[in-house]
Amino acid sequence: MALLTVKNLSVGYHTRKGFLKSVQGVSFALDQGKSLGFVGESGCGKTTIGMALMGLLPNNASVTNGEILFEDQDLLKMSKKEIQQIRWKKIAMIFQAAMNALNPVHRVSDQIAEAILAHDADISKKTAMKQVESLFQLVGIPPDRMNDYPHHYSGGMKQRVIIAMALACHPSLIIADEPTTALDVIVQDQILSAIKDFRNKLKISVIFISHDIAVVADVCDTIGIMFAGQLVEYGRIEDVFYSPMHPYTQSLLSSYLTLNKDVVQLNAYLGKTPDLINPTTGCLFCERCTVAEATCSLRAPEWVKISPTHKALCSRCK
Amino acid sequence: MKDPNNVIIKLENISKTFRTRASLFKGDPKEVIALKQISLNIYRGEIFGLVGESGSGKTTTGRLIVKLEEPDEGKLLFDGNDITKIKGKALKIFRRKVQMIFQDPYQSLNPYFSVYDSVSEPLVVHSVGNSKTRKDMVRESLNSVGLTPPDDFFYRYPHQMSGGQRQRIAIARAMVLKPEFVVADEPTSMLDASIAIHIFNILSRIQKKLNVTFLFITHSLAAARYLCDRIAVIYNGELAEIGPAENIIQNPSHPYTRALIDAHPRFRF
Amino acid sequence: MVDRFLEGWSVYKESLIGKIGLTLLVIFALMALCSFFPPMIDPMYHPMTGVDPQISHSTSPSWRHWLGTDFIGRDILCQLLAGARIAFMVGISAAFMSILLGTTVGMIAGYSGKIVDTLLMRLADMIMVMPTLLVVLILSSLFGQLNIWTIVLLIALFRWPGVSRVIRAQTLSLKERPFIEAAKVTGASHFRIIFRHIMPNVLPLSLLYMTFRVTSAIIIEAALAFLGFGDPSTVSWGMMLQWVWKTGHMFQAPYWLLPPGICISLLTLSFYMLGRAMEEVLDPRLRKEVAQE
Repeated sequence: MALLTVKNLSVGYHTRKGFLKSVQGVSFALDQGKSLGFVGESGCGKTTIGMALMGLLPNNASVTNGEILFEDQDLLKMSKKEIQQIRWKKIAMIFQAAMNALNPVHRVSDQIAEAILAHDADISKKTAMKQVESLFQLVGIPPDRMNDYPHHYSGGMKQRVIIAMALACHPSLIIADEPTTALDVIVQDQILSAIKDFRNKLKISVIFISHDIAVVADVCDTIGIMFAGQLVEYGRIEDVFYSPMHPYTQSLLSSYLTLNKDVVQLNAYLGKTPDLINPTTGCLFCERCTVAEATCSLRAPEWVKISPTHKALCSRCK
Repeated sequence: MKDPNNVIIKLENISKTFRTRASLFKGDPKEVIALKQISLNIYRGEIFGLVGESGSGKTTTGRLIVKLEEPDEGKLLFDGNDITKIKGKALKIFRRKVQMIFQDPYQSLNPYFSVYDSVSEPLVVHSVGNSKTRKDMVRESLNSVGLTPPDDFFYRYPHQMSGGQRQRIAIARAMVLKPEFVVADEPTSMLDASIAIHIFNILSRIQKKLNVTFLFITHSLAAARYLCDRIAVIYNGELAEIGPAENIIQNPSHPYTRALIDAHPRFRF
Repeated sequence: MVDRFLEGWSVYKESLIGKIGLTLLVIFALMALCSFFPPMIDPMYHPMTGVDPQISHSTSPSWRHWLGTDFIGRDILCQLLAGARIAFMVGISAAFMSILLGTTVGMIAGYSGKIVDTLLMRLADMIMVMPTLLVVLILSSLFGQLNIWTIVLLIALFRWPGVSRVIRAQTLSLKERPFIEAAKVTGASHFRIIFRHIMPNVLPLSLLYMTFRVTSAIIIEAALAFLGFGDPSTVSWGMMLQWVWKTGHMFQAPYWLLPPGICISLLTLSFYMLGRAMEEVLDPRLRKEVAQE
C-alpha cells in the first residue's frame, strides 16, 4: 500500500487576469521509504504540488479537482484542525532558502525544541532537548554548536538546522522544495548526503522538487517531469534517463552541466511558457517542441505506457 | 583566444579586508579578510573562470576590478596602466572599457527604466551617438543576446519579463559600448538550469564576435569548465590553483579543488 | 508606463476610500474652475468687490444668493468657489515646493552619507521642531501683512524636513541595490545617479507625501487667515471664517459660518483619502507579473 497517492490533482490561482491553472490533472504514488523527484522550470507547478500536499496553499488558490490520499485519508477533505495534526508530525517540508526563516534572537536549539514541543505537548523540555541533540547528530552538526545563535552558522549549517527541524517530529514524508538552490556545490553535496542519509536510515519518504535535474538524479528513485502544470513524463530514474521519451525531457537532459562527461556544445532552446489562464486544447508543449506534428496542437496528448515503470504524455511516442 | 603577450588585467598582491560594525545581534566588530595578497593575470581575448564558494572572495575580486571597491593593498593594472587609484576623467574612460553583469537579474535593472532606457544608458553617459544611431546600437545589442525582434522589446519594463530575459537585457547593456573587459558575476545562479546554458552560449558567441575578455565568476566548476579557457580556484581569499580548464578538472593538484570536484553531482547515466 | 498606470488605477479603483476621496476632489476642482464664471456673469458676484447694490448686510440663502450674503452684501457662494481655487493653489503649490525641496535634500543626504548627510539632517531636525504656524505669525507681525505667495513659500520652507527624512531612508536602501551599482559601473556621475536613477524610484513616495502636505498647507493657510494674518486681498475659506468671527456673525449666520468650515474639512479629508488609497497602489506586491519567457 502506497504511503501517498495523488489522483488527478488540479490547482489554480485566482489572479487579476483570470484563473491560472497551475497544476492540471497530476497523479502519482509514493511508497514508504522511497523518493520521488519533480523537475521542471519555474512556473511549471511543482512548488504548488508541494504546498497542496502540506495544506499551505495561499488564499487565492483553489483545488479544483483530485484527491490526496495520505495513509488512506484524503487530505483535501480534512478540516484545518485535522491537517494541523498531520502537518509536521507526519508530513514536513523544507522550503527554499528556509535558513532565512530562523529567528535571529533565539538559540538554534531552542527553535528546534519549540517545534518539537508545539506538536507534542506531553514531553518535557529536557526530553525535547535530548531529541534536539540526536537530531543534530543525524544531520551532522557537532552538538557543542547547539546553543549558538543562527548568525554563527554558515548557510549550509543553517539549512541543515532546517532539515533537523523537519525531522524533529519523525514524519513519514518530507517534501523538500529546492533545498539546495542558492547554496554552493560543496554545501549542496553535504545537504544531499544528509537527505540521502535520513532517507536510508529512517526510511522516510522524500519528495524532492527542483529545477536542476542533476540534483534530482542524485537523490531520487522515481522522477516526474513537469511542464506547464502537467506531468509529462514519469518513471524510474533509470528508465527516464536512459530512454527519455517526451521532447521536453530530452531537452532537459541535453542541457545540464557535469564534470564527468566530455564538454559538448549544449543546445538550449528557449520558448514561451504557455498561457495557463486559457490553455490550448492541444499539447501544451507544442510550440516549443522540435518534433511536433500537425495533430499535436489539435488534440490533447494521452499517456503512453512505455514500460510498467515508465510513461510519457506524448502522442508521438507510441 | 588568449594572447599570452597581452595581459589586459593584472592584479598584484591585492588585499582587501572588510570590517563589520558592532551590533546587538552580531556581536563585536569583526574583521573579515576577503582577499589575501592575490596576484593574477588575465589575457586579452580569453574567458577566465574564477571558481569558489560563498565567502571565498570571488565576488570581491570582480568588484575590485570594476572599481566598486578599493583594495587595501596592492596594485591593479589595466592594459599595463596602473588604475588602482584613478578618479574623475580617467575613471570614466576606464569605465567605458570595463563593464559588469550582475548576479541578480531581478535587481540589476532599474524598474523605472524601459529596456531601451537601460540598454542606451551607457551610450548616454559617455555621449556616444545621437538619438538615431543610439537606437541602432541598442538594436544590435539586443539582437546579439537573442531578443528579437529588438524593437518589440524597446518599451517593455523589467517587471513584464522573466529572469532569463532580464539577464539578457543586462548583458545587452554591458555590451552596448563594446567594452574590452567584462566581469560576469554568477550571471546564472538565480536562473533555471536550462536558461543558464542559453546564457552561457550567448556569452560565448559574444566573446567570439567581439573578442572581449570575460571574467566569469561562479561557484560551479562544471559551468566554468563549459565556458572558460582558464580557471582559477579561489578559497578563503587565496588562489588555490590556476590553469587551463580541462587540466584543472582532470588533474587537480590542490585538495580544495579535489573537494569541489567530488562534491559535484555526478551523473550516473 | 501607461499600462503600469492603468494597472495602478485598477487597484486604486477597488478602494472605497480612494473613490470617495477622488469624487470629493473632483467636486472641489469643479468648484475651483467654476469660480471664474460668476463675476463674468454679473459683477455683483465678484467675491471681493461684488457688492449687491440692494443688500448691505448679511442675509440668509435666497434665489438671488444661493448661500446668502456676507456682512457687506457679497455673495457667499462665490466666495466659497473662489476659496476653493485659493485652497487648491495654496495647497498644491506649497506641497509641491516642499516636496521638491524635501526630495532633493533627502536624496542628496541619503546618497552622500557622512558629513553632508549629517549636516542636512541636523538642519532638517532644527526646522522640524519649529512650530510653523507660530513662526509665520511672528514673521507676519514683524513684516506686516503677508502676500499669499509669501505664505506659500514659508509653508514650503517649514514643511520639507518631514519628506526629506523618508526620502533619505528610501535612498539609503536604494543606494545599495544592484541597478544603482550598475549605473556606477557604467560611469554615470553622482548627479546623474541621483536624479536619473534614484529619483524615479522615490518619486511615488514623494507624490504620496505631497498629498499629505497639501492637507497641512490648506490648514495652515486657513489658520493664518482666520487669525488675521492672511493676505487680505484673497478670499480664502480661512479668510471667510475670519470675517464671520470679526463681524460677530458667528452664531447668527450659520449659512456663512458652516460652508467654509465644512469645505476645509472635506477638502483636507479628500486629499488624505487620496493619499491612503495611493499607498495601496504603491505597495510592492503590485509589482508581480506573470512573465513570459
